Amino acid sequence: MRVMGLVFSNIHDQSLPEMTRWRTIASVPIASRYRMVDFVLSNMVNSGIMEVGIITKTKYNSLMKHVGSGRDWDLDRKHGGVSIISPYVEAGSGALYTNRLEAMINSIGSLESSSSDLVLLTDCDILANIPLKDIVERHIESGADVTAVFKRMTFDTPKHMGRIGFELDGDNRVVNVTNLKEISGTNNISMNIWVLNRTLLINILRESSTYGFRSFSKDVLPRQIKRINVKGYEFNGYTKALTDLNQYFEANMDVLKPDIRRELFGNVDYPVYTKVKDSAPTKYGDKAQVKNSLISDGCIIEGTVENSVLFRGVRVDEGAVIKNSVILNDSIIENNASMDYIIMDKRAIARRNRVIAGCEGHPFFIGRDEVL
Amino acid sequence: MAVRKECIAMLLAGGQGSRLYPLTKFLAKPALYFGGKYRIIDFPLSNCINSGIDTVGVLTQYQPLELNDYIGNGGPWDLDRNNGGAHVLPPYQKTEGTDWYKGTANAIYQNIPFMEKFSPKYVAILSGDHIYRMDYNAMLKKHKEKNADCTIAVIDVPIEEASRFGILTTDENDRIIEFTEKPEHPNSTKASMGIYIFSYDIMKRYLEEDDKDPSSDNDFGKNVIPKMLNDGCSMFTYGFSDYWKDVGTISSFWEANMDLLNLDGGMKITDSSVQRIYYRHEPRQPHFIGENARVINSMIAEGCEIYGTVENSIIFGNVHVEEGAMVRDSVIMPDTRIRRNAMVNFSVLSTRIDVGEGAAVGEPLEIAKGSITVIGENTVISDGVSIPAGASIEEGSPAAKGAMI
Repeated sequence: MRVMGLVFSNIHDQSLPEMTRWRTIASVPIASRYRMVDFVLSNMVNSGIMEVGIITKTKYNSLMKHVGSGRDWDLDRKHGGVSIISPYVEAGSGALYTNRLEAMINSIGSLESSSSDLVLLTDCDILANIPLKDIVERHIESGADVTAVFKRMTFDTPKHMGRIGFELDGDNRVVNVTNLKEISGTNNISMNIWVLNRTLLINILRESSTYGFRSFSKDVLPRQIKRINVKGYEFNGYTKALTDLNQYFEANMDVLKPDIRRELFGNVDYPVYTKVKDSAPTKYGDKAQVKNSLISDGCIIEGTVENSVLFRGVRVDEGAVIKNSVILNDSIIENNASMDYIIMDKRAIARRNRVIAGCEGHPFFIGRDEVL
Repeated sequence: MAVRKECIAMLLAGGQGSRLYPLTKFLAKPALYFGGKYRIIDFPLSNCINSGIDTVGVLTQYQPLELNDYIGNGGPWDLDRNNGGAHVLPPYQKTEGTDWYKGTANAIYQNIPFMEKFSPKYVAILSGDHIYRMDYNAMLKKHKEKNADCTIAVIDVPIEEASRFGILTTDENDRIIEFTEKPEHPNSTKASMGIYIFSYDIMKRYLEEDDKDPSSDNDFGKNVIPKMLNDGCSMFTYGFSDYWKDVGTISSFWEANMDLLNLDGGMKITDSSVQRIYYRHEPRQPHFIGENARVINSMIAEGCEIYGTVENSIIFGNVHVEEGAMVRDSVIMPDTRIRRNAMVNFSVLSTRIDVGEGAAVGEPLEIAKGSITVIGENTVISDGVSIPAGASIEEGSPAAKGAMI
């Protein structure tokens, strides 16, 4: 069966306003050399999904530059391949879609012209390496109308976050969909990955348009849960949702752990591709002192780096000290500057002798192109 | 009919690299790994595209499989073109017999039909043996200004080394008067870099003549260039003074790698203000430096996990250096594992090597007296085994299991 992938690039932008000021959540840099969308696109390609639409809304310039023709993911295809679905605004109205359903109604043309049997929907806010092939295979085997991917999570203390939870019967069928404003105890939390028949999706979208429904999981699913067979798929691997800046920081720090690194990058059938830049290897100088850090290509390190994640092309001058920080591409830390619990967006500069620190749980954010 | 090209390049990539054995046991020399991320052929290919030459014939012969795969459709060098682009040109069967490429001139001669498609005015003849960054377009400009039949790139070498090269003597206008291959008593320090630009029609005529001469070795340096000079062709040198290194031997290969560690000299490989060298990528994660690791004056590529000590070395992708292991003054090619407490000193290790726990490969630079240890691909070196300085070990050698050598 042929599967089309539909990626929502903007949903959840508001969770991470610092990082998404210039970009979509899909193009947020993560784990030293990737962007969030790399994991989604790579998993799709590794699962044989070679027709992918990326639904955009705003600030998608960096995303378009990153994805380009899709060549780095082998998605420059004659049939299928990757396409950016830009928002369709009618002359005079100027209104952009405000929810997932509208976004899809917006792109119904791509769905109608596709020759795929199934559609896989996914967001870009969760760091994970998910074998999408298994999910599609399970969907086909189970004969479900819709397969919904969830993670079983336990919260000792109640947590405020808008998430969708599933109640399952003994047959793995979703019998109830709940909107969890506050989460406590053990819940099946939706990962917002769905597989369903393409024609079913088109029908749902048409109907929703007629009735003015706003949300797929809050309006459509609860109303239809008896009529359509929604099956759950539990993913129990590593996941990290980028729900705020601290979670973003933690997601980067997680990759310093060997077991998580193995889970994200160790599966030979699921390599993660990204846009190539032809950077030189990273050069460590005579005075470099680097410990427990994840470092990308093209860096020049003369100073000290500990418990940190450095993206491509970062320069750490002699005497500079970086600890517990995430430094994005082409940033420069000059002589004797000191950074602790910092997230530094790309091309920022910390001048000589600057001392900047956040603290655990509250990393300090330095914006793109800022000079301190 | 292809679109006409003013200048195309023919890249001689059939080199066996026998002095680099066993690194070149399964690889043509141009496909050999270099500098942490690259292969030797990346340098001339990147130079071509950076010089505006978008049509490159790559002539392969010895162990071409990996080289062919590596070049593919030329995409990594922006050479995947509808008009032109990279073309791998192996020897092929013709209606009148089949020939391997006999010499450099014969290899180009056999590909006259390929070159004719583009009706070029000029052809650059390049080799896949050198590490350098050069603007072939500047050389072409001089070739045109001088209205030359042939222009040869030259570099000044110390007089005591001149007898290793093809040496050119010129008049005050850079016109070539004399060319001698490896002269015993050199009278000039201008060494040929093996980079030629020919006016196509003249080159074609000389290649056809050369093919008819049964006494010829069909080699540019030995036959074609002396013949042209003898006939009074208009031949000039193009002086080049930037970094250039022949990597034909183990020691020059090791030196050229080490030269990269000097960021201000050599290739300036990390300098974003100079033209990039492009390469084919493998999807590898960023490298990780462990809690007790120590990495100084080294280059580390993607996919590495370094828990031990690395000093003055070039480490390619997906190399694991375990805790307590030490790598010094060495070049370690991809997919190799250096296990706990192993020592690698002053060595070049090919791909997919497993250095066992506590094993010692090579001896420290200060003691080894210039004898580099070389390990061929897929070799397993058993735990605790010592490989002496200057040894050359291949897969399955008894020495890798600890037998005396």
